Amino acid sequence: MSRPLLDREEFDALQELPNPEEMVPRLVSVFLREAEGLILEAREALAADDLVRVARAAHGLRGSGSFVGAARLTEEARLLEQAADRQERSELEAGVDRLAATFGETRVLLLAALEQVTAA
Amino acid sequence: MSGPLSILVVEDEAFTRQLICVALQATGYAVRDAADAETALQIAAEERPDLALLDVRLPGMDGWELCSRLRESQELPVIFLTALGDEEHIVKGLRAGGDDYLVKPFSPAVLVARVEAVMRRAAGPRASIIRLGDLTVDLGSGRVERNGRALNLTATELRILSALARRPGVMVSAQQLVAEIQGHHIPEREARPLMKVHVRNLRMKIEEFPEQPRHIITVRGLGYMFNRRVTDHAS
Repeated sequence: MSRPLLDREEFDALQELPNPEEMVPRLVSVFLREAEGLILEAREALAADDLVRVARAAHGLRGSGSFVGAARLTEEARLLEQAADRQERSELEAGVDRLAATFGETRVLLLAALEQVTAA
Repeated sequence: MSGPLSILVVEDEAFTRQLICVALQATGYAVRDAADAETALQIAAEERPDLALLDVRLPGMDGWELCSRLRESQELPVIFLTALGDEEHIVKGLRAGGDDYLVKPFSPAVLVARVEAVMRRAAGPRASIIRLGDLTVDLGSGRVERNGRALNLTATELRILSALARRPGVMVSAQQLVAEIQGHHIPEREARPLMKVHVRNLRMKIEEFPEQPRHIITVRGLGYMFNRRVTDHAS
């Protein structure tokens, strides 16, 4: 069973941290900007058949999704990193596509959640 | 010279490093970061941070060796960050001198909680009587003295003073203070004016010059901090 796009428990836990009004928008902003860049990096690396770069990009995404509760993205990045490490080329293209689609959906949910937080 | 506690973040993965820095800065720590061990050693030598977060898998010198090198010149608590969560690696990290071990991926809540716990342990056992320059706070009896003369604090003022004095050098947001002294959460925008009033009243009683506070410092836009440079703990 796949993990939720946005783990609300994890995201809501950010409100319990000191200074959430500053921290949460900054975390989301950095996450959205950098994650998009890494997905593009993975796609370009795959086109160049540079699987080390694919794995590195996926590794970056895997370690960072948990900062905003992007649970499914974290899991898919882990699978992509594994596939790149094992040089399972047949898995990689679909893996990157899945990651990009998941990122798009996650972004919508994150921005909506952020709006709720800032409006509260 | 006073300031927030400082943390050195050493992580080669730029994305993770940025998020860690954002979380720690927003919490009130002063943060310096490095992508490799050599840069980290330079920063540590110049700035002598209060704690280091070290990724294990760094290019060149790894996090374990970096920990040993840092410890040659200074005693500072170290938390290892790694994707390697198996028992063998955790034991190796702790034997290399790590005070704690965070397995990626982790959330900001876990990161902040571990950092606070390690900072507390590094500060030693909690004192029941805290001497803060000319102030003495007896956490057991609630008696507060300045230059040997008892001060008449309200219960709220005493709780605020205790909350800050227990962790000198750590920024505490107004929201956190309300949660600690009243036991419930309110939005930061409501907590700030409330704490502003209480802290002003508290300063009138504990500071020699309330308009130029020496003990409780305002960290603009973030919260309050007890000036650790006037701290002298006694049990």
